[in-house]
Order: sequence, then C-alpha cells, then structure tokens
Amino acid sequence: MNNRPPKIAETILSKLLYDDVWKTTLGDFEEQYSYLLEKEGKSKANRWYWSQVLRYAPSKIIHKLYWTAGMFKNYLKISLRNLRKNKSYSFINTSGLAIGLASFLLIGLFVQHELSYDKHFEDSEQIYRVVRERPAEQHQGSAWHAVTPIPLHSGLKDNFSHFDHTTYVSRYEGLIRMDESSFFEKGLYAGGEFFQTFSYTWLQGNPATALDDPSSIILTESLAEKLFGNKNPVGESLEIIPEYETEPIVKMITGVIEDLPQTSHLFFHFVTNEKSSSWHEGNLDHWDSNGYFTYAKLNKENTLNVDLLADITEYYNAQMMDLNYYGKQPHLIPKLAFQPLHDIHLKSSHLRHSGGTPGDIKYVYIFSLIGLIILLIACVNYMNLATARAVMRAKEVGVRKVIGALRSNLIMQFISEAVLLSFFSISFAVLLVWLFLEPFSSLINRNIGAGLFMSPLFWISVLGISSIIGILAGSYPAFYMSSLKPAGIFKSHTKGGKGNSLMRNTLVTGQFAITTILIICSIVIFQQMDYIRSADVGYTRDQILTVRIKDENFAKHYDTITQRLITNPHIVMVSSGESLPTEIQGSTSGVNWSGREERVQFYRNDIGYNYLEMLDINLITGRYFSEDFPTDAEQAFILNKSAVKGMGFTPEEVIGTTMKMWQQEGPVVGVIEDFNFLSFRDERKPLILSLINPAEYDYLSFNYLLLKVRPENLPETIAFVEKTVTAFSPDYPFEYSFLDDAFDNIYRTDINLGTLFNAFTILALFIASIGLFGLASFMMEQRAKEIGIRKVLGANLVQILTLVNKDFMKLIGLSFVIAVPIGWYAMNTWLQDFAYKISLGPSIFIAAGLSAIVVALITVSYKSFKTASTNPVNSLRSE
Amino acid sequence: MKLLTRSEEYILLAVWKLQDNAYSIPIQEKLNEITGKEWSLGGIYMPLERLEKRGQLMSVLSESTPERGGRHKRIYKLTPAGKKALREIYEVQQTIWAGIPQLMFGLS
Repeated sequence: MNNRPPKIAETILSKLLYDDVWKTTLGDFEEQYSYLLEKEGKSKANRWYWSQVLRYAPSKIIHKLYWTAGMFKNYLKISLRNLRKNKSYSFINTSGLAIGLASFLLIGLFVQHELSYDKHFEDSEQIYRVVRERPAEQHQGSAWHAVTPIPLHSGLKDNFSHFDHTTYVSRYEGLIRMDESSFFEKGLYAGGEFFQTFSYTWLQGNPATALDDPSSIILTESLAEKLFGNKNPVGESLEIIPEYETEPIVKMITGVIEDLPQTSHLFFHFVTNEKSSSWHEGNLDHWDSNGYFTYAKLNKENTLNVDLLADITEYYNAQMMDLNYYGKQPHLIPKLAFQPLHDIHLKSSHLRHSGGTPGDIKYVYIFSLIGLIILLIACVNYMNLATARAVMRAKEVGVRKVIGALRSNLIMQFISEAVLLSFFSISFAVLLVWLFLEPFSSLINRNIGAGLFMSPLFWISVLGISSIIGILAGSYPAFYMSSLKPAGIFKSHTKGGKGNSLMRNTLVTGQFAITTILIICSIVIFQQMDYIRSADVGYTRDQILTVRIKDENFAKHYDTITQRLITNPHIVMVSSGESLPTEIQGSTSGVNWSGREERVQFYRNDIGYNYLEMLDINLITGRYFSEDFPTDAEQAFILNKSAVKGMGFTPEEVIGTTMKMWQQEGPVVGVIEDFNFLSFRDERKPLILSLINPAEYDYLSFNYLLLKVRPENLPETIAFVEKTVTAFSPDYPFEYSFLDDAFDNIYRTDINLGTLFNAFTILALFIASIGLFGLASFMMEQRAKEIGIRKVLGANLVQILTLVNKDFMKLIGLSFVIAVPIGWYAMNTWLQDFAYKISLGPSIFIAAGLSAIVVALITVSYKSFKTASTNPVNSLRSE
Repeated sequence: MKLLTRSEEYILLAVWKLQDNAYSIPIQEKLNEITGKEWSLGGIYMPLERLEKRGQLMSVLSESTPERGGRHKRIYKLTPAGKKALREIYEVQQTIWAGIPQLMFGLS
C-alpha cells in the first residue's frame, strides 16, 4: 500500500519552499501525514495534506511574484538605459528584426491562406474528389484528369453504402440579365446531392430542396444584393444565358447562401440545377461522358481502405467494359483515384481541367523556407551584436554577480532584454505588414489579410512569435554573458573570449552564405524569365488585339462586322480562331493518314483566314489557307514541323497527303515552322490546323477575334472595335486583351515568384548588411586605440583599411564557397521544369558573389574609413 | 529587550521540556496538550523561525525516520538568550499576577 502523501501536492509544496532551510518542513508534513493515515485513514490524511498545501500556496506565490517583479523592474530600467545609450546599435537591431518579422508575418499569412482551403466545410476531411488517369490522353506530361462521367456519382452512392452523399458539378459562366443590366458571373451546374455534400451557410431557402426544381437557382449574398438590393429575392426570377447558348433561360430563385470564403476551390456566385442545361441532359447516364467533377462524402465510420477501393474499381471497370471503345481496348480504361478535398487546392498541378486558380504546394514550401531564413538572419544579427557588446556589459555582469545574482537571474535578465527588443521590433513589423499587405496580396494573386487586424488570432500569434524570437535570439548572449567570471572581468580587459568570436564568425559566414544563395536564385530566376519573354516563340505577339466572343448571335453578323472593322485605317488584318496561339489546349489522337504506323498525339486548333499571316508564322513549304481555294474550308490541313516529323515524313513529302481528323478529310496544303504554343516548360509538340470560316456557320464557331492594329491611336482603335462589336451583341460585355499580355499571363506565377524572390533577397541582404555594419562599428570602437598607434607609427589609410577589412573578407569569401554548390543545386532543380532554359554559367555565381562582397565591403569600409581617418590624437588622448 | 509573546513563550517552554526530541511535530503535540487547543504546523513555524533569528533558539539537523520520507528533522535547543527571555517573562508575570489569584478565586 502506498503510504506517501499525494504526489502532486507534494511536488507543489516542494516547489513553493524555495529555500533549502525549509525542506525539513516537507518531512514534518509527511510525518504528520503518516500519523493521520494511521489514525483517520487515507482519505482524511490526503484531505489534510491538500488543505495544508492550498492554504500555504497563495501567500508564497504572491511573495515570489513580488520579488520577481521587483527584479524585472530593474531589468527593464537597465535595458531601456542601454537602448538609449547606444542609439545606433538599438536602431540597427530593432529595424533588422522588424523587417525580418514583417517578412515572416506576410509569408506566414500567405502560407496560412494556402493551407486553409476548403477546410470550412463540415466534415471536410471526409469529402473526396474522384479523378482519373487516362493513359490514352496524355497532356503536357500528365494523363491525370479532374473530370469524370456523370453516372459515377449515382453509381457510388447506390452501390456503396460507405458514401453518405455524392454530387457532380461543372463550372460555367452565364450572362445574367435583369431589367436593363447584364453581366457575366461565375456559376455552377450541380447535380446529385450538392448541398448535402458541401455545407454552405444558408440565409434563405432550404438546402434539402432548393435545387430540386430544374429551373431553380441559388445565389450568393453579394449577387442577390447586386440584383435585388435589400429585397428578399426568394421567389423572384431572372434570365440567364449560359456560355455557348443563345436562348435566355428563366430561373426562379430558391435560396441565398452566404458569400463563399476566398479559400474555396469551387468558387461561384450562383448554382443552377444541372438538368436545366440542354446539352448536359444527354449525358446523364452516359459512362463515356467526361466533363464533371464528382465529389463523394464518406460516412464517418468508414475510411477509404484498399478493399473499398478495389470494390469500386471493379464496379467501375465493369461499367467501362460495356462501352464499345474500352471493351475493345481494356488496357486504356482510365484508373480511378480519390483526391482528398483538402489536397485539391495545393496538389492539383498534375490534373488537367482542374480549373480555378490553384496554388502549388511547392510555392508554399519555398516561401516558408524563405520566411524562416529571413527571420533566422535577423535573429543572428541580434545574437551577434549582443554577444559582441558583451564586453561593454561585462562590468555590469560582474557587479551583479558580486552582489549575489545567480546565473539564472542573469540569464533571465538578458533574455527579457531580448524579448523587450523583439516587442519593439514587432510593433514596427506590424506597421510594415499593414503598409505592404496590399502590394503583397496582388503579387501573389490572393486576397489575404481581409479583417486581419481585427482578428485576435493574429495578435496572439504576433505576441507569441515575438516572445519566442526574443527568447531564441536572447538565449545565446544570455548564456554567454552569464558565464563570465567576476574575478576575470575586474582583473583585466577580457576581449570576448575565443569561443565567442568563433561563434560570431560562424554566424556571419552563415548569414552571408544564405544571402549569397538567395542572390544566386534571384539572378537565375530573373534571367530565365527574361529569356522566356525575349525568346523567339516563333510568332509575333505585338500589336495583336484579341476580343473574346461569347455571343452566339455574333455568328450571323460575322461578315458585316469584319468588313466594317477593316475599314478603319488603323486595323491591318482581321482573323478568328478557336484558341489563341498562347493557349492551344485541345489535343486528339484521332488523326489518320494513309500508311499511318505511329500513334501521334496532335494538338489542334481551328483558325480563320489570315491567322498565320497575322502572327508571322513562317511557312516551310506549301501555302497558307487562302480564299482562292474554296475547298480549304473544313478540308485542308496545315501541319507544323514536329507533326511532320512525328508522322515520319519530310515537309515536302507530306504536301498533298490525305489526312482524316474526325469527320474532316482532306490534303495537307502547308507546313509551318514550330512555334511555342505551350508554355516554355514543355517541348514543341505536333500541331494540326484546319480552316473554319465563321461566316459559313450560323452558330459561333470560334472564340476569339484577332486584329492586327497599328501602334498609333490605340485608344481610339480599341474604342472603335468596341463600338463595332457591341453594336451587334449589346448584351455582352466587351472583353479584350493584347496578345503580349496574354503571353505574360502564362508566366505570371513565375514572374511574380521572381519579383518576390528579388524583394526578399534585397531584404535579406539589407538585414545581413546592417548586422555586419553593427559588428564592424563595434570592432572599430574596440580597435580605435590600436589604429591610432599604427597611424602615429606611420601606417597609411590603405594599410589600415586592408588590415581591418581582411578579416571580414575572409568570412565573406568562405560564405561564397559554401553558397555556390547549394545555389547551383537549387536552381538546377528549378530549371529542370523548363524545356527551354538558360545555362547556369559561372558568370551568375561570380555576379552573386561579387555583389555580396561589394555590399559587405562598403558596409565595413564606411566605418573603418571613418576610424582610420580620424586624428589619432582624439582616440589616444582619452583614457 | 522586547518581551516574548504568549505563543513564543509556550514554544520555548515546550522545546525546553522536550529536550532532545524538540522538533516541529512533538512541539505541536506538546502545545496541543498544554493549551487544549489545536495548533497548526504553520502556526508554529513562524514563531520558531523568529526565535531562531533572535538567537533564543538554535537548531541542528538530525537523523531521519522512515515515516518522514527520508527527510531530516530540525531539532531545536534553547540558547542562554532563550533561557534569559523565559526568566524575564516569568518575572513579569509574577509581578503582574501578584495578588490577583486571591481576587479571582474570591470571585468564583
């Protein structure tokens, strides 16, 4: 039997009795306890022991706090005095730390935003999106597709009780018409149990039935307000024209939901019943349809284990085998996989048709790393400067020790000093965050930080971070300074011991190594982006105005409009196309020709007359599509060089070869040079072009109007185009852009990455430099007398500068040696993503190394020059 | 010299009587026995410490016993100054009580 007092109570008691003399009291209590135990039993004895402890505790705690607070008051006073006394040192330390903290906070906000996608749904960890790997449909190096057949959702729900709810959706844009106004909004077709799978916050309407009627529409709060003001919109109706359709559909509003958070991968302003779309209806039970996201919500008791996956695959394969196409080629049946909802935002870069503005887990990692690095550099500054100044404070430490301060008191003192400084810094950092939140948000293309300064979580983390940083940065100086021996301090002038300067040198070297790595990365990213932007893509993208056309009615007026446009003297050429040369996405393996052996995946595009001429795409042999050959339309083909090579022909041989793509059959009339219609990350691929003359169709057979314009009078030209186009489709907004902007948009993420990288690199270099500056000025103070004596003995300025800069330059040189291989490795990995890339020559590394050295040299020399050029009388006179 | 308080006086007397076994627990028991009231341990620590600081008691650490969880006892001993203080308070009481007992017994 256990005859000891309650363990916890005993521990508390022993902690409260701080003085050794009082430890016998513990024995007294225990003796009394065992006496009570024998006499009155265990529970009574325990109760007694506890009551003693509780009665004892308050006065002891207050006693302890009182004396600690007294000490802290003194620490605070001394810290503030020290900060005031060394203004430049305090400024360097606070601003460095503030910039570091601000960068860290901004990056933290970005990372937190990226990681919080889709977590706001109920049971969001139970929701999955079904994706497929389609071996027959390779696209830009991946065969994974985010889209699935419609019947999959009911198949899962009906045959597997593991799923509570399933739904299928597809994104679209609709032109919403209310009274006089009309505008495009992002919407969803949803079928199955959409609102059961995803829990939205409902302001009006019933989630269980809102979507039942085919004519129902559910709006977000902001859209409802835009259309109806403060009126209750439920029961009202509106007209909507989906993309690619001509007839407006009348919709009844059955519900209003709260606006979606920014962190939703499915972003929309309205939801309509999927059955309302005429051309979706045909696909409802077709397993060969392929254009819908399928989501499934697993019930809580189940996990997606191997057995369940195997059962689902078996069921699904059976359905696919029934299809003619896969029945004949079972090896081509797409493989199913379940992607957790939480992964969709960050881990979909391999998925085609995933849509939205996806993030990339890679950037989350890269930026987390940069944030930590900058913070680390700033902390190192603090540690360096504080330990360097230890000599100044040594006497204070000595006096405190002699008076009776314990080592733990001194550690406490220096850590609280660091925490105080870090609190100062974080106030500046918050100010910086406030200033730079907007530009930073637009650079990363995310709306972060809305309501940030109102959120208690932000302030708690700000306080938390600054305390942690203070403790981390303060701990090394604290341990170092508290280890000084009073006898040594008073006896002689100790110059911060050998171990101390080794530590300092290591830290400076590490700081500059990291900075040099960042400089290397910045240079490489900048050069690669510059290379892409100035590289010959194989077509001209200057002065090409593109107008997105969505109005089906436009087709009927195509000829009238183009003829009217060409009358303007500033418009040189007009053409049309299914896709812009920057974004040809469509591809097919359904191309045949006589003697075909290879299975070649072709990218394809339907283009109008003058398309190739306008873009200056060079002809190798044959001719462009021409109105002189009426049979060109819907019959003739033009191939690019890669396509000809893929087919196993030479350009001359292929002219006249009859080819068949789907229903279209005709001769190859021309071969063009390859041009980069894909991103520079990819090789140039086979391309097949056919001619569509939009004037011959009564439906919209193209997506873009392309106009070659003269550089003069651009605003008027654009206004003229707008007037002409909107005259025929008054309902539709005029959407235009220039081809070179569209081109830049493809690399937007990379360009922004480059800009951010540059910004953070400059910050890191700046922080490291001010650290070095502080260190250098301190060293100069220490060596002022030495330099004075050297000058008296006849040393000149150059000799003295060489002497003091030599030590620092050795460190910078060493950091360069460390940085080169790491920087090379990192950038080599990054460049692997690009099929067309710059080479990593030595000039990049030399430039990076030189810029670090020059900055360091200027920093150090500024101070050493000042010291070296003062009259030695001044430094030697005082003692 | 300041006079002893009533509790200090009792404690000093208890320590004297207990001789070699004068540590907190027996002191407490002795006090309970003398006064017929419950004394808390905390209530005797403070006067003990005060008396020791004033030099009227001295203490030594002695061997421990199992029921103390292996911890030392602090045994108190009266110093000459302690004895002197007791004698003083005794004399004061003699003086102040002179004649009173007859009065009291007369009343009761």
